[in-house]
Order: sequence, then C-alpha cells, then structure tokens
Amino acid sequence: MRRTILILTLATSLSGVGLEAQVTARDRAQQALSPEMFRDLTSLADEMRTSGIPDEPIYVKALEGNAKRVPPDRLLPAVRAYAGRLGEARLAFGVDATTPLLVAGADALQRGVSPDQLRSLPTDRPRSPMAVMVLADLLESGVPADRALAILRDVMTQRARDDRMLDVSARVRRLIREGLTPQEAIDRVRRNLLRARDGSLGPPVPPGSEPVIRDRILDRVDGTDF
Amino acid sequence: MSGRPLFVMFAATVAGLATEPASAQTEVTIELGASQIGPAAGLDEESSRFGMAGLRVSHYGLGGSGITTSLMFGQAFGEPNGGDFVSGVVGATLRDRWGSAWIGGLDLQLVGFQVNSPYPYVAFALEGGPSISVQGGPVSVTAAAIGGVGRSQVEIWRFRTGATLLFEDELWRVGGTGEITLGTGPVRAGVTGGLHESAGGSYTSGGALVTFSGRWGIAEVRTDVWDTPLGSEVTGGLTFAIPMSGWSLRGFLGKSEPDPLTLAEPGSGGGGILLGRRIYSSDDERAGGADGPYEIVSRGAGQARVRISMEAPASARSVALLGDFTLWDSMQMRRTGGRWVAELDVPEGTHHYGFLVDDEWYLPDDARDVVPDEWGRRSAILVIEGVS
Repeated sequence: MRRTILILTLATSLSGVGLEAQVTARDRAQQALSPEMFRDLTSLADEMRTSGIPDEPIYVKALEGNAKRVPPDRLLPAVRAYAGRLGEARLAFGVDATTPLLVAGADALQRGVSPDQLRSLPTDRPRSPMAVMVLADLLESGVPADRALAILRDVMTQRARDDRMLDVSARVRRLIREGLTPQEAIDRVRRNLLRARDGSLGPPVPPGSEPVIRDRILDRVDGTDF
Repeated sequence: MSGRPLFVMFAATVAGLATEPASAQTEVTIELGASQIGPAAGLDEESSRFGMAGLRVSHYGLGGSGITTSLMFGQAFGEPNGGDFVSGVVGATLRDRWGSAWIGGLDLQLVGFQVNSPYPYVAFALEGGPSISVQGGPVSVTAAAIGGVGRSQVEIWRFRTGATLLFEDELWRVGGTGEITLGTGPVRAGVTGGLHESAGGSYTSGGALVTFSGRWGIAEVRTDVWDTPLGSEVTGGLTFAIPMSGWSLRGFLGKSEPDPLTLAEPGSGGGGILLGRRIYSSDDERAGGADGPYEIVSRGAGQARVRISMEAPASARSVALLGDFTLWDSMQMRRTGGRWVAELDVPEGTHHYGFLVDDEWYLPDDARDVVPDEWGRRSAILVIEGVS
C-alpha cells in the first residue's frame, strides 16, 4: 500500500503534476477533519514520531475513514488501534522497514496475520508490501500458513510483478469457489507457477540454418555415377 | 533439433511470459515476421530473406504440465517457385517440484519440417528426455538427458542428366546437457555444456550465457563453441521475448547451433523477428477482458495515467472516485454510456480506492482484488508497476 505521501508529493511535483498534489496528508487532514479530531490526531502523531514510527499513515487512515463517512466516535479509536499495529509491524519487520511495508503489515495484522507470520516472510530480498497483503488474503481464504509462505517464496524468487502476486490470491479464491479446499487450491496454483520459467529460450531460426547438409550431400554424390 | 524445436520452445516461453497463468489456460496466438540470414550454401542473397506466418495453440493445466502445438509457414522473397517451408511441432512438458529446491521435468517434442529450396528436404523427429534442476541461494544447476529418433529425406535433381537421387537418413541421438547459473536479481550468468552421440558422429559443446529478465520481458546473450564431425564452430547471439499485454515480440540475432539429431549445420548468421498477437485466451474470458476496473493509459516517470471505470446503480446521480492516491479527496467521475469514468495520474505502488455514489461509500459487488478496512467496509486495489 502506497501511503508515503511525501514520496507521492515528490514524485508528482517532479513530474509537473498540479500544485494540489503537493498537499501533504497532514495538510489535508487539517482541512477535512474537525479541529478536535485533528488535535487528537496530531497528538497521536507526535507520540509515533517519538517512537520512530512514521506518522503519515495515520493521517491517511483518518482521511480514509472520514471519506467513507465513518462516525467520529468510531474513527479515532480505529486510528489509534491502527497506530498500535504500525508499531507491531515495525517490531516484526525491523527499524529499516519502509513506510509502505509498515502500512501493509498493519493492515495484515488487522486481518488476523500474526507478527510471527509477518516475520516468516522471505527475507532473501526486500520484503514486498504486496507480499504482505497477499499473505493476509491467503490466510483469510483458509490457506495454511506454511503453504501461503511457500508460494510467496516462489513468487518472490521469480521476481514476479506485484499484480501477478495479487493474481495468486485471486486464483486461489476462484478455485475455492469452484469447490477445491484451500489446501488443494494453493497447491495447484503453486505448481503452476513453476511452469512459467521452465521454458527454454530458442531462436526463430530461419531456413538456411536448417538441414541443408550440402557438404554431406555432395560427398555422397561424388561417389556415384549421378 | 536446434532449428524448429527451439523456435517453438521459445514460443512456449513467450506464452508463459505473457500471461504466467496460475491455473489451467488455453491460448491461441498468431505470429507474423521476417528473417534475414547470411546466404547459406545454395541460396542467393534474395532467397535468404523470408516472410513467416504461423499459429500456435498452447494449453497448460493446473498441474504445471502443458502442450504446445505450432505450425509455421515461410516464403523466401526471392523464390517464387520455391524457397517456401513449413514446420510443425507438438511439444509436451511435464514438471513437478519436490521441496523448495528441486524441480523434475520431462520434455517431448514431435517435429516435422519441409523446405523446397535449395533441395526438397523433409524431416520428422521425436526427441526429448528428463531433466532435473536444483536451486540453492543464487546458484542453479540443471542437468538434462536427451534422446531422439527421426528420419529425413533429401531429393537431388541434376540438371545435366535429368536424374534424381533420393537420400534417406535414419536419425538418432543420445546425449546430455548441463547448465550452472548464478544470480539473484534480473541478471543471471552461467556456463553450459553438452555431449551428444548421433548418426553423424560425436558433438560436444561448451559455452557461456547471460540472461536478463524483468517486467519488460527476457533476453539471453550466449555463445557456444561446438566440436562437430565437420569441424569446430562458434555459435550464439541475442535472443529476446517481450510480452506486451496480448502482443509479443520475439527475435534472434546471431548464428544458430548445429543439431546433432538432424545433422543440421550451424546457421551462417542472421536474424529474425516475429510479432505475435494472442487471439484467444481462456484467461481473458475469466478476467472479463478489457472490462476490468482500471486501465493503464500511459506510463511516465514514477507514475502512470490510469483510467478507472465502474458501473454504478442506474439510479446514481453522482459518482466520485477517491483513494489514497487522492488523499481520500473526492474526484468526480463522468458518465460515459453505462459506466462512470475518471482519468488521473497515480504514482507507482499499491493503492486502495473506492467510490462515493450519491455521497455513500460504494464498491461494486463484483469488484476484484478487494481488502477490508477497519470499519467493515471494503476497498479496491490498484497496482502501478514498471514506471520507475
């Protein structure tokens, strides 16, 4: 999940997008939320920064709830709980975790993924926020944790695109709807994933490099009365 | 066979790259292309330029095994009365994995080829064998055994006497290949080797390769030194496959390998390119084809232009798009036919979004790729990649 608004701001301003894109999440929250809500949010953000946790995600989460017309009495407690999960995710992923990864981790924790399962994600290359989200998807679908982690390891080994990773959970859900158990579904999807890189490279060789075998033919012709 | 079979194996790879399906999938692809080779023995320069057209049907099942059938026709530009060729391949692949590191495989290919110039030549062959791969960290080791049998026929007509000679060959080969590659990122490099006994004698090869892969596709640069009954040869070149949402571009530039089975000599150097268009995919039917929730209009530095459309209830008076990429600020959508549409720039990353229909949070029931939020609602997911 991409909620590093400062990065978004940088990216959009570099590419010449309109000035409105340079508004930060905090600025937007100040405009969109009630003064009381914004004050509470700012206080929470100060605590997070003190703990070394990025504070932009909570402004974005509050804006999300506000946009979805969530009543104020339900909005702030949810944002506080969300801030706690960002802290848990940071413990699971380490201090070097990026903001998108922490956001994905916090979402996954809310969906029932355990901190241990977050820690179990492959680490041989940078953890992907999408992998965290797909892990949550798969566990929600009833896929055993070891199998979910195994397929994510395969996908990451193949350096698959994020949308392909998302496709894994979509296909598992579809197979489950078609009557397979979660375990059968994940096993089938995983086996098939292995196929894509197994093909061999070879050229569209034009004729002429085909069996012209001129020398062999001439050798044999020379020995006859042809 | 180094010629046609590789051609089709390459096609199978392109099919895999283009879709990389995770469940059973059938695809039909048409291809058009051209090639230019260094004039081979018996061919003038003009006769060495070919136009090619073909059809490929592939089906890969849920178990990771599959079958690919390919038929390709070619016509030499300078040979109105000949120079045409036709080739067909049926290839079957079985794959299975043991644990996290071992992959076993079995490949079989039935190949038919006919060309009319400079000599009428026809060959049929069946070849294949088992393979095993193991990957530990960045190192991957693959060993494969290969055997094949076949039959070829060449017809020689002598202008001076009007006589025709027919040569028939029983073809066979047994051998094996090995490959060790190293790499963890988009670049892998390695060494290869092979040893073959055939009806024509012994063939040995050794070489090096570098493979580049990424979101854009895959390319391989390799070179091999062959010791054949006819002498030593250096072969190799650049091979690439670039899938492009339903289209594919693949090609080769270099000198093709000799073939111990058909006893084909190495190519004299040249290149070819094929543009493929997938005309049917069972995956398209499942995904709803172009009617998906969003479409990438263009890609720029760090962001993409995205068109998002949705079908709101018929009674909807206003529909707004909002997501983390708008900081959850509403962006009004316009009605186009039966759908509501908005277009905007979205930075690279994975985003959550949804709609306000008449000021109420709304996500279509059939929305794909959704996540729940803290309040029991759902958000849709939008992924932007490959714009860095």
